[in-house]
Amino acid sequence: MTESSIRRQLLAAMLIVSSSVLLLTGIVLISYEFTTYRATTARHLAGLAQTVASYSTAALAYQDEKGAHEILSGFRSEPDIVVACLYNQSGKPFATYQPGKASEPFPPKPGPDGFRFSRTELVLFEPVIQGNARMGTLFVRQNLSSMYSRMSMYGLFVLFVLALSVTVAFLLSRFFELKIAGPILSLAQTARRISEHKDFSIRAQKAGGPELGLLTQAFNQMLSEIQTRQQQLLSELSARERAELALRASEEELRFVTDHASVVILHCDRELRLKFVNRPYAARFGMTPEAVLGKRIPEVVGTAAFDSFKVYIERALAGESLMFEVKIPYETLGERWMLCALTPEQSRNGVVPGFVAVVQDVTDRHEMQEALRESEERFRLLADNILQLAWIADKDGFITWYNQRWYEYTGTTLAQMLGRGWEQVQHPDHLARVRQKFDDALKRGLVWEDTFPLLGKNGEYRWFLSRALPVRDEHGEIVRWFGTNTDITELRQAEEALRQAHYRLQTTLDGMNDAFVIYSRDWKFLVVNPAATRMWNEPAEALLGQSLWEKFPELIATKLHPKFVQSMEQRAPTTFQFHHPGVDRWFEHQCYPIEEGLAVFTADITARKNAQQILERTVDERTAELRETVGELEAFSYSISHDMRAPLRAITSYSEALVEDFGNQLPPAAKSHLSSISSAAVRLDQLITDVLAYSRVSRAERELEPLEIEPLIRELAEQYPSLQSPRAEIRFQNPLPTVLGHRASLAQCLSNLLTNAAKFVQPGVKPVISIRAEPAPAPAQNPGQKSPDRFVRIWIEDNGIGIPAKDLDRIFRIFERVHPQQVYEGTGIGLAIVKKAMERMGGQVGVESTVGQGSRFWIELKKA
Amino acid sequence: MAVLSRSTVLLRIFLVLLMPLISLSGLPSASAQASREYALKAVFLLNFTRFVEWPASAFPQTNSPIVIGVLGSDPFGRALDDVVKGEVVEGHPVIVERYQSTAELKPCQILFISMSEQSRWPEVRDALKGQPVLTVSEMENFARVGGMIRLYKSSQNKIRLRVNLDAVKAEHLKISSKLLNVSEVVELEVP
Repeated sequence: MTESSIRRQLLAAMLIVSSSVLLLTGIVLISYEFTTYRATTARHLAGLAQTVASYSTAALAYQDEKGAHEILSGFRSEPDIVVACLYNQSGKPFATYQPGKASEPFPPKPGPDGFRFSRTELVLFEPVIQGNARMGTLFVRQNLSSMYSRMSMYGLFVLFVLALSVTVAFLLSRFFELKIAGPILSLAQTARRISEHKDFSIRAQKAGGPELGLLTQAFNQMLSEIQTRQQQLLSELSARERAELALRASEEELRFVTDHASVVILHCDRELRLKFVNRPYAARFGMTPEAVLGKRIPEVVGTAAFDSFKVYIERALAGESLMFEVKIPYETLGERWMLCALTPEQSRNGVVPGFVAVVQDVTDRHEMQEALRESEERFRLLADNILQLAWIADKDGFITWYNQRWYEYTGTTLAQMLGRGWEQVQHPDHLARVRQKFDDALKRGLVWEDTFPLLGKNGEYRWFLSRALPVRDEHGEIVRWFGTNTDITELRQAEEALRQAHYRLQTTLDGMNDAFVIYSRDWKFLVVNPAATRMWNEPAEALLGQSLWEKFPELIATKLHPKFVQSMEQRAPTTFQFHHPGVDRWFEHQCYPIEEGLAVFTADITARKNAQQILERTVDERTAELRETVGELEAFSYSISHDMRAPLRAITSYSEALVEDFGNQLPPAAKSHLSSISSAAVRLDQLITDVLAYSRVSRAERELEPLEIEPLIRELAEQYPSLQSPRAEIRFQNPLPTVLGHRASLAQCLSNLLTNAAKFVQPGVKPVISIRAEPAPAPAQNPGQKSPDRFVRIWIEDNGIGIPAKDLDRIFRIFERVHPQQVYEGTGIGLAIVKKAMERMGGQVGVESTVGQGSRFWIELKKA
Repeated sequence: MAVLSRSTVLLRIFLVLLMPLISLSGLPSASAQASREYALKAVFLLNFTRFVEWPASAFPQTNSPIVIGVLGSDPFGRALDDVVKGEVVEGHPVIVERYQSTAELKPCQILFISMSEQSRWPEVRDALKGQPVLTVSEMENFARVGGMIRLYKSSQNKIRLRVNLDAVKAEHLKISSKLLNVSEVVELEVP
């Protein structure tokens, strides 16, 4: 503490006290003055206003403005009133009072009654009432500037007093400093000197009043006390240092020992606060012992872990020494088995102050025990669930354990079965043998194996294959036997069934006339039946195991080889006939690929083959004869038809001549009859022409030549007026290809189709015929054709009457007509000619039709 | 503006037709002027009830009405009835009564003597003698011929009061000094 700071603090204290007192007083006074002055002003103005209002009632009632002015001028006594206004009953300004030069504003309408302060003004609305009737309102505004000037004067006065008091306080502080601070400062200087020189022999000088004198005395006493203590301390220090060194050495020794112990050691107090831990303990939690000390056990191990051994700690703290194993779920280490020894500290006044714990991690040992137990359990589970019956005997064959299956099968208990109890379930016929073999195996220490029936709990015997193995210790001594019994009843039944099946197969193969051979995948004879040995003309022994192609190399060059190889390799069953050149016989081979290779049945079909050849030759001869007859018949019909035309023409021309020459002499009925004769003759002639055409195309067996269709159609159209414009129209939709055909036949077909298209239309409709070409649909319907030729389809579409679906099959047959002769004339041969001609040219004809819309005929021919 | 749109023309015609109506309603007619004047006078009559104090003998009961009587032809029309409607002064409801002749006169507190009764005023004055009735009229020299309050028009065309204080005092009526402040008081030479 310096000299100046004491003085400054003294001064500050005086100044703060005096000025705050002054300020507070000033503020309170001014506030009080302000409030009361305001209230007084308001009261004063209200009184004045009430008087004026009272006087102005009559002026208002009788609208005497002059009188009102005079009354209002009563405000002149109060110079702060800057404006007054009298409003009449309806709120209109009636008279005003404005003493100043500038006309002060007043509200155009009266506000609510009463007064209001604004910052600089007091405003008042006073009701003007006569009796109980309101005559109007008086408005007065008073300037508050005089009030404010008064308030500021107060303020100035307070400031002046403040300044005065500060000056006085400053002067006083100089005086008090000398009286109070002087001795304290000298004491402070002495203390500083002592601390600088560490010299406790220095004493302070007495000065000042009684209190300061007492202080100085106490200070000096304290100094001498310190001096004495210091000397005592110095002598004690050396003795304690030695003791501490020894203690520290012993502690270090303890720490060394505990830090290198394999166990965890800790010491903690009642509050579970750790007072000592060895390094392994801290290391378990990844910390140093110093970091762990002072912490509580739950903080270090975690609450879950702590809860697992809390109960033991409580017992230890009750004074009990314990040793126990416990599973602790550490947060960081997982679950660990710990062997713990807790030793309580000697109790003081019945309270145990803490305990020491020695803890060892025994998780590995526990896991081993656990693993052993689990392994045992697994063995039991396995043994109880295998299909075999199983058992364990001691080295003398005394059975101590059977698995669950054994009890389930035999329906016995361990008590019945213990030792040699199994003899009870043996079949009497087998018991002696089984016993002997079992004893023999025991004696010699060899694997025991036997097959015998065992009695089931349902009273039936089943066959079991039984085995037992000796289990030896590390010295090779047998310690026990482990045995099983496997149910082989079904196996034996299956074997029997198989044997029977094999017998039946063998008998069948032996009795068969067909040769049967199985070839292995490398063509060795695997199975040969007696018929096969006869066919190959070799005994079975000479064939079996031999390769087919090595044994009979001449076969490699024949058709047999590729057929066999294909069937074997593609695993495809196949049947084929083969003429063996060496023996001049026919064989039929049926090959079936099987797992082992190829199974082949072979039948000698030479006799059947010969019979077939005779039959074929007969058929050929008969066919030739028939063809000759048909040719003659066709020629005959042709000549008949041809020769019939001459007399027909004579009938026609003579009936026409008759009409021409004697027409006017004949009665009308005769003329009509002649006309009928003539037209019948013409029709017969047409019929004959068509039949001729039909027979011509039937017989035609001419070479096909490339033909362009479009020019052909144009030529035809020129010959037939009914196909020409304006009677009909032919449209080519796309370029038509060149086809292979016979010119005359094709012209015949096209003209028949075109004239049909032009003919079968509704009366009055102009026939429009569209012709287009397209590739024929995929399955080229020509069974005789070997290589797939490309066919083209020509469509001839009309806008005619169409053909009902039921008639579509009929129209290509000869003499078939859909429409009666009277409606559409024709012979019923045209489409038959087309069909025949197309067939002769290797082509086809077809039709699609919609009644009322038209028909679409098509012909298919090979492309040139 | 050579061409006027059709709607503008129509608007003008409409305005021309409307003009007389506007001017009629805008300018107050002579009769309206008169009725306004009497409406004001009606208010003046009512206000007398507030500035004049009648002796207790004037009312048979404390809640007896203050009757404003109109003698002769009534110049107020409905204005007076409208003004007094619902008015109560110091417990006395204000009502209006009309008398055609002096013979019909009934006790009343204020009596307005119409101009039509000018020639009969002396009879009326004598009939009212000794009764506390405030007499009011527009008659010339009313205040000088025994009437109490005369309503007249000042030079600024304002309605003013002329009070014959002697006549008032004679019938024991008290007129508020406030009313006198706004009135002209007629000094009569002592007879």
